[in-house]
Amino acid sequence: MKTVINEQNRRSFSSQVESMLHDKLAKCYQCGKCSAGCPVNFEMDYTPNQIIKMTELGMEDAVLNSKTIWLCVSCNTCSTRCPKGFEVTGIMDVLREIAEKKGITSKAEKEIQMFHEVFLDNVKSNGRIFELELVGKYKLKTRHLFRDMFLAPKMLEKGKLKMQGEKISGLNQIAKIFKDFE
Amino acid sequence: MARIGVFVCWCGSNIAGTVDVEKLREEAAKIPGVVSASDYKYMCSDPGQNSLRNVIKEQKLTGVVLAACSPHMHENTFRKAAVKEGLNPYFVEIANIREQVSWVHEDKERATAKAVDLMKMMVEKVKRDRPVEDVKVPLNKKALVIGGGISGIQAALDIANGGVEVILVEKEPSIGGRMIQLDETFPTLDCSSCIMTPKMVEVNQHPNIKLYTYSEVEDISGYIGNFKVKIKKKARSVVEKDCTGCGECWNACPMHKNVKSEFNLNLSERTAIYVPFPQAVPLIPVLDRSVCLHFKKGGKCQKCYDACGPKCINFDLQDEIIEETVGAIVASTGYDLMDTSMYGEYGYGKYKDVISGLQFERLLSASGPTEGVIKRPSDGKTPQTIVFVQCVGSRDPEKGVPYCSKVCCMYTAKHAKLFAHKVHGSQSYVFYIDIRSTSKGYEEFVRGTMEQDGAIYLRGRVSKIYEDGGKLIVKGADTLSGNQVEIAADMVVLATGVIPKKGSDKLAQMLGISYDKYGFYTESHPKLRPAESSTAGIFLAGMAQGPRDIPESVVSGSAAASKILGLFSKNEYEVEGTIANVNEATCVACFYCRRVCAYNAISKKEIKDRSGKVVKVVASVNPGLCTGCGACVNACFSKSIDVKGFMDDQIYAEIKALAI
Amino acid sequence: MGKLAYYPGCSLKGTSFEYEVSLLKILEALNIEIKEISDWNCCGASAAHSINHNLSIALPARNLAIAEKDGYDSVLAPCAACSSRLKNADYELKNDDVLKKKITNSLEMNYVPAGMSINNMLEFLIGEVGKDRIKSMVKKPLSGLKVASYYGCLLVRPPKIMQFDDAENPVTMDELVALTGAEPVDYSFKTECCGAINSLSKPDVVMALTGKVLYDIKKHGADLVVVACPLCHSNLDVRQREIERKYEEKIGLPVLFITELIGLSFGINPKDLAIDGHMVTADSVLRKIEELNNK
Ligand SMILES: Cc1cc2nc3c(=O)[nH]c(=O)nc-3n(C[C@H](O)[C@H](O)[C@H](O)COP(=O)(O)OP(=O)(O)OC[C@H]3O[C@@H](n4cnc5c(N)ncnc54)[C@H](O)[C@@H]3O)c2cc1C
Ligand code: SF4
Ligand code: SF4
Ligand code: SF4
Ligand code: SF4
Ligand code: SF4
Repeated sequence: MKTVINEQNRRSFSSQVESMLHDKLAKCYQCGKCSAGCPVNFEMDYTPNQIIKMTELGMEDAVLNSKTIWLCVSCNTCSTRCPKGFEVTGIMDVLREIAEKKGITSKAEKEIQMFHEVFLDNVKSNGRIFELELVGKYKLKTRHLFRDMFLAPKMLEKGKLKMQGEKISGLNQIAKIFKDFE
Repeated sequence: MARIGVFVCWCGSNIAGTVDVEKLREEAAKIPGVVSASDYKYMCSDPGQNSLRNVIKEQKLTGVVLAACSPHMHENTFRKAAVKEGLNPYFVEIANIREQVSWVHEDKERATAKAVDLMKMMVEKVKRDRPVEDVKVPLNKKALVIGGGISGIQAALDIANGGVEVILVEKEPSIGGRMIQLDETFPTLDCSSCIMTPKMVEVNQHPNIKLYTYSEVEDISGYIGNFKVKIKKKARSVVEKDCTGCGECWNACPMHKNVKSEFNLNLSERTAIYVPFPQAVPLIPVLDRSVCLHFKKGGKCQKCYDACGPKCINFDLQDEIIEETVGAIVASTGYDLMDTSMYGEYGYGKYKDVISGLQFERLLSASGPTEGVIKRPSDGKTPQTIVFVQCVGSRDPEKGVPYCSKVCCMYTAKHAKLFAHKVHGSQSYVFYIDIRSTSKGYEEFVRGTMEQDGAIYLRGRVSKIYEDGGKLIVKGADTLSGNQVEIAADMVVLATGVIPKKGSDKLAQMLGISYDKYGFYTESHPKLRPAESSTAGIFLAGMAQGPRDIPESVVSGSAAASKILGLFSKNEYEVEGTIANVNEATCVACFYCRRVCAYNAISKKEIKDRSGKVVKVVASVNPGLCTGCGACVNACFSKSIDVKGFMDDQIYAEIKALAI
Repeated sequence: MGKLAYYPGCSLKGTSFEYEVSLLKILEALNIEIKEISDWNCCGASAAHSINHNLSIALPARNLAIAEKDGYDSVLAPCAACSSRLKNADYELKNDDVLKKKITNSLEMNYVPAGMSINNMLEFLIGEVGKDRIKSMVKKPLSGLKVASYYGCLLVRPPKIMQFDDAENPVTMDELVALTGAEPVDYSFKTECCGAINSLSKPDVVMALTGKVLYDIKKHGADLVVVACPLCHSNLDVRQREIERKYEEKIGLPVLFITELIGLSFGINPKDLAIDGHMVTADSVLRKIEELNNK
């Protein structure tokens, strides 16, 4: 592993992240407490503290293509325990958002990314989540058609899956929000 | 007619690099009353001082202005040079064109303009200077040391050995402080009590030391050379002079359960009448009335009294107030460990086997609750695996403090080492962020813990500790391998950070010395006056100033002592003459000045006629306390107070000089 | 008690309908009126803040702005994810004027942050309803029942925004459990993450995390688990059979919403609380309650 630091790229990437994050990367002193408590660290390719350092070093490609940013479940364990009060959870949000805006599709964790996308599509078109539609679309998109299928009959029986979704009446407002911020 | 000389210093390129010194000199020469203006590379050098003296002599100067560095640096140098030519030292004024100009500005033209302004102001001031005489205050050659830890003990012994009387006040029943709680000490592993007890005994036997234990300073007033001290000696319920320390009383006391030993940090119990540890100095018990049955159950128990041969137990003894007058004070009140209960994730207080570093010292100590055998508090078993967690509370601005506690890297290495020595085949794991081991022999000591004693160091913090099947599961990170690590430990030792002793802020307020936001006393200058507090006559030592280890605490104790011996080598102490002065004729005794004075320097003075009748009450300034800050000058409605050397007409002249 | 708004969120109208049913039931018993925010929309849940920060503030902000316009004093968001998103939005709008301006412009509605109190289910029960009032309604004390409270992430973290209980060792739900007469069970993973939103996209990870929590609760001898979050519920309840299969060890822990447990102690018929709506049947619990009551 080796990184050649390009000062210009380093600055532009790290300052983009800092301005979206409203926090300073230099605050992190790499103690690793975030990674120590992260519930999904075991699946990650880079630990959260590594992601922070790599961002500071301007390793944009590696960071934006990492599994880590998608595996993070925003549980906030890291930020809550960080001795420096660094926005660790926040940086994961920021990096995902940058990746998303750049159209980078995660190779290893595309399901997670797609789930978020399908979820927001669902909100966009209904104003609320229609779970059956959400799950259906997600499965179509990921082609994991049969994963979790065994749960469905019992969930139906218990009344957990509604066949009909609701649409809100202020859909135009929702459309505007999406237009303004997407 | 004023004859002023202006001397512009280049300070090499420090000033000349940013300020046009020639221009400054030329501007000076234009000012009426300035008879000489010159510039030189280093005014503070011998040739610089000589030229100053020559000009004073040849030009018969009545005042001198140096455009140079801060008066904190060389005011004294130049005053002394001027005095040699017969000038009053207060006729030397300094325009600070280094700290206030060249070091803080970049634009040469504007910097020069500012330098000219400052210089002009000083010229106008010096024209109006009147002679000021320094004030001499007499010294009571006796010292008070507050806090009997190693730093206070060292200070007391050094002062006493210098032939000066010392009063040592210690709040606990015994002197010794934290050091006597320690087992062996880094980096040489000498046993703490073996090196500490001789010093404690020496204190007790020293003819020049008066020891008050179980006592606290209640009130302090006065000033350098003349502090009035009130000491509260808490009722011990034991007549000290008769007590032989035989121990019959505490052996007889039925209260031997449920009262936690403070000395052993709750790892064992003590009786109601007790000595904190066997080598206590003085070896005289204290009866803790808050738990004693005699006091709780209306006089029912008096087993200690019955057991005591010399019958020195007296339930009726009262607190005593002792008054002393001293000339100097050492504040050496030491430290506490941080409370770690805010670390819910570490379970301190919830899990019995998660303990602090100081508790581990007690487990290691031969005089400790387990007689030096390491046993876990929960079930008394000897742990095979211990996880040490460094920087707990320290370097944690979110939950603790941002600073590094300095001793915990070293004591953790010591703990891991002693654990390996005591429990063969055991294993320790140390979570650290950085290792700070910068004194002599320290780095080698830490390396030894790893290389010889087999401790495994992991670079990372711990996120959570929880119990599972009788083990403590420690969830940490090793940032070097990039791994999350889980270790099943039998015991966890938190290297808890240090904070100033509880109540040290209150004491500082009583003493009138400054302290930082954590409560550590601040030194008068962090580098050049590390033993002095912000108040003359009060000196500092030990951990009360900030994290430090035993050698540093000892050095600082000795430093405070040598400052005091130096002070006491004269009979009087000279205070700068630039202090407040009351015009008694116009003072209307409103005492607004007294309200605003932060140094308690103003008192009421009665003016009596010949028959002794009070004809007037006026404000009076105590020269020992007044710092010349000038707050009173602003507060006085009748314009009756001035600070010598800073009279109103001078200040107005300065402002006018700036306006033109 | 002022005028109370109710923000159900999507889950309570779908997979976690039991939560809504039981919550409305106990509020009815307590004689407390709440009103659904009119035409509320999805808060964006984890998806929005995961990939679009502004959206994650704007979506909940619309609901808050409607509630404010309609003159409510406080908002109850029983879903922990929803309350977390609402609190986050309120916090950001309070602290970021630029963003606030952008968002109120987009919504074409005004909003004054920090004007209403936003409550999760537990805050609402302890704060708005009050312990005494709950206690006075307990008709069938559940004494003898051992209950583990699982808080998960979103109720307590991040503490600076949630402002609720102790982030490492919360006790509010345990206090509510104690009010019902049941015995709170202490264990190590009260606030450990269950995997939350990645339930569908990363089932293996979720099962590992949820499994850890469930097995620990089991080890500490609980009869059941209570939660105050539909996401936690679906991971702990819906995935439980699968976890048992994967780790080849039986769990069999019914997972109830705290409102259901309270409802049981009020003597409300389990059916009316939709307790039969869970994937892991709660029969064992109901039986135990009967037994204990007969004793
Ligand atoms: C776990 C641990 C292990 C350590 N191991 C080592 C080691 O191996 N080697 C080493 O060099 N250093 C070690 N240290 C550091 C060492 O303990 C300190 O450097 C040293 O004790 C500081 O001494 P002190 O006199 O400044 O303070 P203290 O020892 O705290 O003494 C202060 C004294 O003042 C008294 N006092 C406080 N307030 C008042 C008051 N208002 N009135 C009267 N009396 C008062 C206190 O009761 C106390 O007796 C260790 C520290 C810890 C926490
Ligand atoms: S816990 Fe905080 S300081 Fe430590 S590595 Fe993580 S972000 Fe950096
Ligand atoms: S918020 Fe993300 S990175 Fe932080 S601990 Fe949770 S999963 Fe890990
Ligand atoms: S019994 Fe009396 S003499 Fe002996 S230690 Fe106790 S008080 Fe002192
Ligand atoms: S009188 Fe008090 S101190 Fe003395 S033996 Fe009884 S309980 Fe102990
Ligand atoms: S001395 Fe070491 S353990 Fe202590 S705070 Fe400093 S770095 Fe941390």
